[in-house]
Amino acid sequence: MNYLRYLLILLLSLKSVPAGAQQVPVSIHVAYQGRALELQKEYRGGQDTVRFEKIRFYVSDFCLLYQREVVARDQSAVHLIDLADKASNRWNINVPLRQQYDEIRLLIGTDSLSNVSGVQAGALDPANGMYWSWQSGYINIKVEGYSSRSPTRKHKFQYHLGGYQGVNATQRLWSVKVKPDMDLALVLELGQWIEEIFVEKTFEIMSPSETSARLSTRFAQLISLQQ
Amino acid sequence: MIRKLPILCIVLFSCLAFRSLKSYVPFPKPTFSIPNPKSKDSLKINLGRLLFFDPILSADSSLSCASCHTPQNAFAHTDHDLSHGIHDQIGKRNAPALFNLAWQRKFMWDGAINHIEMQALAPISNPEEMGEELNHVLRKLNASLFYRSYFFKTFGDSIANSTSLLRSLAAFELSLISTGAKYDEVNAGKERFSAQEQRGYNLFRKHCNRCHTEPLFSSYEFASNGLPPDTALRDIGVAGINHQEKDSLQFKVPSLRNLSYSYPYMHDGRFQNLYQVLKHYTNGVRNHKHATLHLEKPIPLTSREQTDLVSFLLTLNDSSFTNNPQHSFPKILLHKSEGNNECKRQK
Repeated sequence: MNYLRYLLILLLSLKSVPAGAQQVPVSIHVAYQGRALELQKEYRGGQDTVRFEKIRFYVSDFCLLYQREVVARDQSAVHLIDLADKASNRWNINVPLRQQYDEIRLLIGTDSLSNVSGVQAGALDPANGMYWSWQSGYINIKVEGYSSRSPTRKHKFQYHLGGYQGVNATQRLWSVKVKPDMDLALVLELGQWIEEIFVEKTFEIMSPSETSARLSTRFAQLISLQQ
Repeated sequence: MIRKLPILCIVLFSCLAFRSLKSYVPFPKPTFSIPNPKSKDSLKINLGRLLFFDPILSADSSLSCASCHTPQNAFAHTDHDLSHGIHDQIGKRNAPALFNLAWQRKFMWDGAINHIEMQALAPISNPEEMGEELNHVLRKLNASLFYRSYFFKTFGDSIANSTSLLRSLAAFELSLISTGAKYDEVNAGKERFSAQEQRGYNLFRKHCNRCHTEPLFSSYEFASNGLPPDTALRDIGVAGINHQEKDSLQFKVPSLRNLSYSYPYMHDGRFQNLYQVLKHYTNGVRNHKHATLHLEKPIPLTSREQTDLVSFLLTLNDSSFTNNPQHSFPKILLHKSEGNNECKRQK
């Protein structure tokens, strides 16, 4: 009778997929010089030694397009990618059977509406540590760690890139063309991102600014399809 | 001419009588829904009230929201120019009075918070106020049988989370409605101002209504009233949030309701009484580059006019609000046991 029990568990654990649709896996990986980045591991770059302690960022409004029209939209509107949570960087998107798509589009960060809608649960729960309590708004990208170039105590750096309005807004729209049967695996080259930051002077960002907006732009630019 | 005298008298009398009548000023539509204490909302309001008065929200369990926002003082921090937090730390602002929050769009003196549900996070996590972390608050609440039963009664889930905690607090805060002042009775046509109060009201409408718009007695917009900055506090208000120089020294226009209970006045509590406030507006604004245009010139008020104006302002006091037992300390907190999840062994 055990096999019946296991079969029942398996059937109950399957996520519901609408009839006439397929689940297409999506993943986002973070890399340092082309290799999967590990937290707390020391990396020697061109200018310094760096170790990452926290890497978290929001991805929202993920959708697939065909000839510029949205043909599939991620049911979970927001994902909090957290390198400390191995399951957080992958999900499935329901796509109608035989539906073609040629483009991925997503938002790095949270949209403006999320930032003005009061308390929310799930990825947007303020208990996740990604919400500024002193000034309403989500931290769209949080990167913390240690760099030999940082002049602070213990050589720490902390980049909390947030802000949802005006010229210093940090959410970024990102898209890329895809070919049929391509894995929807994205990679963010964080090594290059940290190398480009003048950590000697910019070791701490805790509020919206021109610098946080610029770093957010560069963050999105360093995302590509995994080859 | 003598034949027309009675008609003239009647016309003159009517004009004078009309001047003392007050046309009804309706309340605008609130920004946030006001919870109905006669519906299921009462559970959220009640839970929010418990949390508001419970020092469990602070890191060392010494301070509650009510430590700085006392109900008898219209939920202001009376007799403190600057409010203080845990470990006797003195902050850089005066805790504002809390009422009619449903009509506000932004919170805090600098408008940093854009939704009432998120406001409580600011004092809870500020190291100079409650110095706590949200996750730790939730752990404390979930370790308390007292709160687990209240969260279960209110939300059908005994486990407190960010949503249930913050929405409960918001429900209580939104329930703090102050509309029972003498002014409101006059506004509804049920009462009349005295002659002095009427003179004061006329002066108010001439000089103050633009920013302290009735019937809320604030536009809840942000403006600079020409206060010279405190060189020690270096508080630049809205500009500290949005980094826009044009918004430097702008703070939220406070309501003029309940002034008798909520002194001292201004964002840093620099004025102890209303005459000091009036002195600022009649003499103190000195072509400040950041002052709102309405205050380009001092407001000319004689001593008698100042007395009349204060007389009117006193009609905005609402003792039914400050004495409302539904807003007071919930006595059940005195009997709250600090039970935890572990079963106690029978001896």
